[in-house]
Amino acid sequence: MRLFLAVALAFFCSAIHAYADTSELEYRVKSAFLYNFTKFIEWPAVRQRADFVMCVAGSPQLHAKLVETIGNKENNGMPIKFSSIRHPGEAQNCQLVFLGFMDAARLNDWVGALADTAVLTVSDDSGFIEMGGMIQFVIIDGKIRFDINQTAANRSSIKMSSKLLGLARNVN
Amino acid sequence: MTAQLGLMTRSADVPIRSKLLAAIVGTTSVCLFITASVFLVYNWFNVRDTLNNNLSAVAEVFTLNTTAALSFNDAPAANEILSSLRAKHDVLQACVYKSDATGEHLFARYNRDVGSSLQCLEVPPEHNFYTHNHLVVVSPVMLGSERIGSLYIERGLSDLWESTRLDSLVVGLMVLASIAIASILSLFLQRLISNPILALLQTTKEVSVAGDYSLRALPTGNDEIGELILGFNNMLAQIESRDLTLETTRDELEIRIEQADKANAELEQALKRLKETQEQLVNNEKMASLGGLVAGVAHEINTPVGVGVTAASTLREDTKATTDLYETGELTNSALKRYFATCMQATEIILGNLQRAADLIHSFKQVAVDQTSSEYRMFELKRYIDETMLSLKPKLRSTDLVVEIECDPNLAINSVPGAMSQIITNLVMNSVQHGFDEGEKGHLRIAVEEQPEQIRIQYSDDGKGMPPDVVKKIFEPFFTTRRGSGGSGLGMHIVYNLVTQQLKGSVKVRSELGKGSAVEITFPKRLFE
Repeated sequence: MRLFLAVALAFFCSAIHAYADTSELEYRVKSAFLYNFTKFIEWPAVRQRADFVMCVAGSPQLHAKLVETIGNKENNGMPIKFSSIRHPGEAQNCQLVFLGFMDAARLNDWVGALADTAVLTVSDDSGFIEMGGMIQFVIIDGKIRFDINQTAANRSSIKMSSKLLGLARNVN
Repeated sequence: MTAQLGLMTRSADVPIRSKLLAAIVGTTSVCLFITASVFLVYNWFNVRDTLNNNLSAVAEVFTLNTTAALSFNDAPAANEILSSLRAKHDVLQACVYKSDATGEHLFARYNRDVGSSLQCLEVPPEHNFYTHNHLVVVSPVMLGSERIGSLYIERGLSDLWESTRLDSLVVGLMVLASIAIASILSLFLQRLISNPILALLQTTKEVSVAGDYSLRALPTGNDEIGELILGFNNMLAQIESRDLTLETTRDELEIRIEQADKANAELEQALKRLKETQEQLVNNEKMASLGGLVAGVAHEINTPVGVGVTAASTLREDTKATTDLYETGELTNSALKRYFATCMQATEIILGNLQRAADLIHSFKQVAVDQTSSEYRMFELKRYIDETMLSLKPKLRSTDLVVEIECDPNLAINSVPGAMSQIITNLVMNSVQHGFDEGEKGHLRIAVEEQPEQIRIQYSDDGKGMPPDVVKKIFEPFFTTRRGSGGSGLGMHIVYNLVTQQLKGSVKVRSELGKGSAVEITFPKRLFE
């Protein structure tokens, strides 16, 4: 786990610090994953805007970490912007929303509200795929992996690369 | 190779058939060998490039497939992707490297043979490369515009070598087969060229052995060899006709030579007769001059003998008268004394004139003897010239010519006096007969000059002289300007012969019309010492 994290750190060109807090590292890796997802996913043309907006709900730590680690990056020539939102209505401009809630009811609300809106939904929650979320992080043997709900993504006209699908632990 | 070299060095002696065969088969072999070599090398590179391209395509596919695994740092996934290379039998190993801040590090690997000694390098090489039996393609793994790693694929080239070996074998067999076919074909084709040439050769041999130029080579066609045969036949025809002409000409020539020989013999005969005649004429001339000499002698002796006769008859008259007086007794003392005086006077006169006659005879005898002989002896030149002039006196008496002789009286030479006498006689007679009109006054001059080894006699007159064409021909026999009036045309010819043959000297004539004539004779002082 420690070794893996160290490699991940190096990959993301971060400053070399010893982090005692494992969740700090976890956020960092998840930030990188979120950024990498954008490269293997195509959004429908209606969502193509001048900016690529990543939104975070319910996890200010991740928001901060995203800004810190991938704040200068781009997606298809568009600068990536970050936005912290509180309810689904604010997700109009987002291409991707990370839902940091541990509350199944709230997650359900969000997933329901964002269905058919071409917004990629990502969460840590173990029941997220069953709820209709699109990508769910899982931790296997101390490594972060992910499951994909391709049906949900297709419904929102979000195309996921077969390479991404190949890396997923499970694809529904 | 050595056989070929040997062939080249002795190529001039090799039969034309072998040369043609060697040329065709050699050219074919070289061309085939070069073509085959170029083909094999080209093919080798071509196949290798194809293999390279194929491997590059494979690498491209796999770089695309491994981007996600690299991005999400999923080494097992990458290994799994790489393991699908097992379908490609020639790929020996593949390695995926992941880029990070410190460079590239080995991320995933595939090895066809589990126990293989092949190992992925710590750091991927920068470019594709070949070794003699390995081909390595290095391809960047890109995510968007970002390089996130490298893919290294290595394949063996044993299949390339295997196919090259097979190609070489097939091409080699084809080359050998082609050479064999070329040899067999050229065996037949070269006869098209060599047979007519050999036939021509046979004909030339027959011609040269038999010397029969009526033989002809059989024409084969209208190609160059046909022309050669035609030319050869033409040459034979020319030689034949030339031989014929030559033979005719030789016959003609023989006839002409025969005729010429006959003519030559006749000419020789004529020349011999001519020479005999000339000799006779020269002798006649000599005899004639001898006759002149005799006449001169007779004339000279006549005077003293006449005086002697007169004195003797006077003495006889006186003696008879004195005898009569004595018998009659009337002889007086004084008469006897007078008779004695007369006696003395008469005998003295007689003695003196006889002595003179004897002297004259003696000297004439000498001249006459010398003139008919070509013996040489010592003699005093001055005295001899004087004696000669004495014999010429009767001829000169009727002229008004003055003779001057300039010579050292003590000069004695060893030469041929007869020749000398005849030379002087002829020169003087020439002057008298041709140089002056009758009764004309003039001078003859004989000047003798002594040189260390030679004597030079300069004879000259101040007569009429001669024109150049006469001077030019003056020594020619029978040349005369007075054929009608008794000139024999031999005088100067005799002079020339005597000077050159008997005196061993030389003679030159200078003369101009109106300026007299001069003859210069040079001869050695001592002959046969």
